[in-house]
Amino acid sequence: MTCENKKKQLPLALAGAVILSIFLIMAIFAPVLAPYDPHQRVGLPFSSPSGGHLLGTNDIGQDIFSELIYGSRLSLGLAVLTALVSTGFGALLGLVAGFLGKRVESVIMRCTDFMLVLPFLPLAILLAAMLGQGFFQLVLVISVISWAGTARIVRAQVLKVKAKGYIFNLQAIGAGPWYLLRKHIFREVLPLITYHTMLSASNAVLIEASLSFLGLGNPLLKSWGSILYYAQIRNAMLTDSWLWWVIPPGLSIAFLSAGFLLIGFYLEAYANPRVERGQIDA
Amino acid sequence: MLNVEGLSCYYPVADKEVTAVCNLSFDLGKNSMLGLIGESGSGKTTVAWALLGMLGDLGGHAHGQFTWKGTVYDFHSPAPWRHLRWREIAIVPQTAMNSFNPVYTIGHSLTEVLKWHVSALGANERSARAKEILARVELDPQLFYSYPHQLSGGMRQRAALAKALICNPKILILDEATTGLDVITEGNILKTVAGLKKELGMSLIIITHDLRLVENLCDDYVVLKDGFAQQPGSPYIKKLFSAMLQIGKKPKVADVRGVPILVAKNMSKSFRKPGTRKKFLAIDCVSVSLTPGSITGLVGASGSGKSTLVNTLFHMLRPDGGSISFQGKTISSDPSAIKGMQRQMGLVRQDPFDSLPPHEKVSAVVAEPLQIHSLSEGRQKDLKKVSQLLAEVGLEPEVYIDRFPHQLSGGQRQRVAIARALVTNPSVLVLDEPTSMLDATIKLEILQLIAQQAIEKRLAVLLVTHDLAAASLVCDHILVLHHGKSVASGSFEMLLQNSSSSYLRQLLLAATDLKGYWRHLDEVAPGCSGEGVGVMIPPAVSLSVAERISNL
Repeated sequence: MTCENKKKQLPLALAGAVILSIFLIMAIFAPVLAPYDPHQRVGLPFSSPSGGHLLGTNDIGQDIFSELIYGSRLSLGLAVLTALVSTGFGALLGLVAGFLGKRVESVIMRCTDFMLVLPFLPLAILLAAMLGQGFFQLVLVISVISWAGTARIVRAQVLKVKAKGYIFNLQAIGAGPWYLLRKHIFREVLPLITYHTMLSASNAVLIEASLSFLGLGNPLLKSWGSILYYAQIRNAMLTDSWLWWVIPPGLSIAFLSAGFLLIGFYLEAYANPRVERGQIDA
Repeated sequence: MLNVEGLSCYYPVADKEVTAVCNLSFDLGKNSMLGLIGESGSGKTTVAWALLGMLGDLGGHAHGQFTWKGTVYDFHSPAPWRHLRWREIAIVPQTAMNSFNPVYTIGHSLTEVLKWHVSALGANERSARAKEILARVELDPQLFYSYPHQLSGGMRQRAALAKALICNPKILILDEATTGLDVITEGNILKTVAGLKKELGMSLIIITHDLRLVENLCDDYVVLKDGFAQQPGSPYIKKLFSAMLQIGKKPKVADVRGVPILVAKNMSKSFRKPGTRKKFLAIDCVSVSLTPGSITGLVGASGSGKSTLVNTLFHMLRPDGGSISFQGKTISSDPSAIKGMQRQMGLVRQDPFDSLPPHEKVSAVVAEPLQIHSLSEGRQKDLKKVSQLLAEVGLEPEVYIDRFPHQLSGGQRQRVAIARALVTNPSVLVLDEPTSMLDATIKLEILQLIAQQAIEKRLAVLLVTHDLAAASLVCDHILVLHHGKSVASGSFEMLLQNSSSSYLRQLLLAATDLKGYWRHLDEVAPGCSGEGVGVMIPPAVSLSVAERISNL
């Protein structure tokens, strides 16, 4: 990506930051912003939107607007934590594999290949069913299925950096492997890891929603996916209630995921090694 | 034959138009060779692409006129480019050896050109023509069926030449076509080009920053600086030609021969040939000794084992045989002994664009060896030392210390690399092709700097190069490698007098007198020992160069 493209991406990245900020404020100040406790029955079941319930109520009379606000806590928290765990684990393995090479690399990369060829959703369903439905179990499930891509890309980047002339130079004058890894290779790979953290966060939002929608999330935890799950099993799509029961959580999922992606695309400009070149070879 | 009038080229850069070439005019006669000379960024390549009407594809545009076969065309109007390109004007572009699609055979790449430009030919005729042109550029026609990766750099360069010649163009542009090749391969390819020029009656435009080629080959030349053609006799042209490296005698400095600090004896290293079980010897019983205050040259063509020897000296490769002793002690495989030796050695490598960490400022880059060897005396003292070294290598510390490598030119980067190599006060400095990617004027400055540092700091310097002219100017002792074996050793004068090996003669000639080298090749059948052929060294030694070096 050239400098000009980077400039073009800036407004989009700012939009992403605004979206994330809105959801962050929603999550932090949920008790203040939400008019009701989302776990309490506060109205008649299947109420339409009104002054008392902005997005109506669900099948047991809980306020959907309050559910939506509290749902941002789980979605955002899970996205950030999963992104950190999965990218951290994948990046660590990628760094070790790329830098050490030989047998260690072969073992790590074969494990990575194995994870990449497993069908994603059945594996997620199986793991969710095996590990249980708590918040941390969800983090673990999503991390287990999404670290492999990061490991593969980080390893490729490490191989590229390792082959650079300056690394060879430093090795020749006595720099040790730990020094090179810490001081140079990690620094060169860091923009890529940051970009992947954003992508992972975006994916985590979607995977959590998918799992909750399929009924594999914790029914007691309020998440946007679980709102959709109840809407679906109570046939919201057959009545007008999909307008306030399905669309708001659906849009929230889409916006949060897009927010992470937009920032990720901007960070990609830094991950791309050609970013600083804008000169013409005459 | 071709007349270019008022050619100006522009590129849009960040909402502005940058002028790459300004009001350039030249004539190219029939069967003549025109040299287009200039330093990096002077607009040489832009001229070539403008002549092919392809500047638009590179994001720029051109103004001016050119006359071709009596018809006047405008550069910015749609001239019959489709007809002109390749059939009339063809180009061997920069890094042409990498311009083949790796998934197609050489034959496919060649016949593809014919398919577009000479559509009347059938498939069999196209193949026959491609094989014929391969033979013309002195390649085995069977290479028609080979893939690019199966060819060596020189062979790929010849294949690129075949691709340019396949439609029998009237004008051939060689854009730095031999840059990066060693002098012998370069000499051989240029011999083929000169032969074909005569045979096919072509005219050539040679774009280069190597003045040696222009002096040896061209009938006329145009010198470009920042896009402007320089008038003959202008100070810039004089400076450019005075900076030209010619075989010269190294001026006598004080006799500094003493006890060698680093001695590598009978070093051998073999590698397995890719895809086979066979091994080949990259270096075979090579010995080298480095003495404080003197510069030893390690000269040889690509693949002669120069870099392998350097890597074994730095313990980056474990040699199969031989021993290294440093300051009188034999260095075993003990890591602390190796690290102690590495602390005493500085290294500067070929590619200035790849040898510095891109994410660190010059201050951190130069001070890094201090941290690696735990010699740092605190930030302030380190910075002071870095500033002092930058000043010594000719960079103003206050201007350059806070810059990133991408904000420096190639020559400045090489100076930073030299400062870094000197920061630990080493006793040995190894420079692996430090000037091969630099322009002529900068090349000379860097060589002067190396000579100056060697004398001032009593460094034992190993200068690895394929440029015999550079070695002859600064080295006290020269070791010539060929296919991993040491074929000659001694001072440059000794090499001239005792050039018993055919290879050494070829190397000397190719570096000095291209036409003489071709005559030598004509007289000596390949593989023959070349007896009876004298070495022809031009009597004119560049006095200005010798004087400047001696003024150090």
